[in-house]
Amino acid sequence: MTSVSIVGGSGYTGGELLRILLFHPDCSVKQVTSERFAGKFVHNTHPNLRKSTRLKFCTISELEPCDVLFLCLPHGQSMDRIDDFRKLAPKIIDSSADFRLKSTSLYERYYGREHGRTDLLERFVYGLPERHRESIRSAELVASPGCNATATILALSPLHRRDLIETAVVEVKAGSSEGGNAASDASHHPERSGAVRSYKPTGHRHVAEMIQELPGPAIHFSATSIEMVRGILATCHVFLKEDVSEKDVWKIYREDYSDEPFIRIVKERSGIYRYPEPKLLAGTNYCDIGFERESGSDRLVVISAIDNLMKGAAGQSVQSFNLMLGIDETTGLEFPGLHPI
Amino acid sequence: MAECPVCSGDVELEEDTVVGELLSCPDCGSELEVLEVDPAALGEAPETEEDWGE
Repeated sequence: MTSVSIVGGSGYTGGELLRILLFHPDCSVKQVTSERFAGKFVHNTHPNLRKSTRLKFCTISELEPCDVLFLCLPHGQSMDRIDDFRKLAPKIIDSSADFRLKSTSLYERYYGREHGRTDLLERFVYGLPERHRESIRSAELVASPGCNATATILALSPLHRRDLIETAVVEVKAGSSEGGNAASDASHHPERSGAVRSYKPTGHRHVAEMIQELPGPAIHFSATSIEMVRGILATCHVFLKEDVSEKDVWKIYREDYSDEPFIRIVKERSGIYRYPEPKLLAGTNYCDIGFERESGSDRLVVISAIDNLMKGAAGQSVQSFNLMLGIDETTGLEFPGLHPI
Repeated sequence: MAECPVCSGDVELEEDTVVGELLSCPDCGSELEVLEVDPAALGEAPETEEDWGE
């Protein structure tokens, strides 16, 4: 049985990690930290876990050695304390952006600060199993990707691999949980409710990950926050270098994703949900991908959907965890979602 | 096994499938008509046209 602890477990990603790991057959959750809620039951903060655990939050200074540490700290904090964490566990999975990027200039450009631990950047594996599965299996240090980056990279990767993208314009509609659990004026209910908020028309930090993983073509990214708690829908307008038919696109996505346990091609000609729908993915680790080729133009629209807290955060981290342990990649992540919801 | 004319997906035919039978593609959900059984061939089934009360 693998012992795991969660650092920064009072946020939404920490709560989702707990929900998954408490029922994971191959691990036991040893400790969960929260400086703010130390001494309180975790179910006070994550009420869906009532009667599932009697764990209480502890402080980081109270952490004991374990096999795997999950870090769910705000950006910038993992790198500041990484040496302490590495003394506690031989394997670390970091959900923050601190070690996702290999390029320090890219990090500085998008995060507006110097990177404090450039010596470790190459040692962290970018935790997107669909692209780096074998490296994750043997990794000691994994940096879990950002949610918007995950949805976009998975949508575009098969086309990028075949050098088909001239340029891409990506518009993401995102749920409010992307913003974390800290309240602000902008999240106050009378202000937030019903709003369709363009919160990052340009310059989103996750673009750095897209540049790293999909180098070459220009990817223009905008994010809009909508009336939804969980979920991301990425609509990718891809302008192609060469003409490909819709059947060709089917073939391309099948070749890359047929064997992927968490990617489903969703493009149906009948029914209510003909294209990816984030609502159906709440609580699941799936990424659904659909597409439509526009006739008479060079545009291909690729649509992807995920639960930002699952495939975009906690679920993806557990997928990497399973790979690092050498067990079935889907362990603990079998939940198929709810319908209706 | 036959190929979906819409998405090129594999569509499984039962042994007792007959010409004219309607099937659905498991990948793209297209309604398909069995045109031949040996070798198997499928075509897009004509969509039901609605009568708007003419």
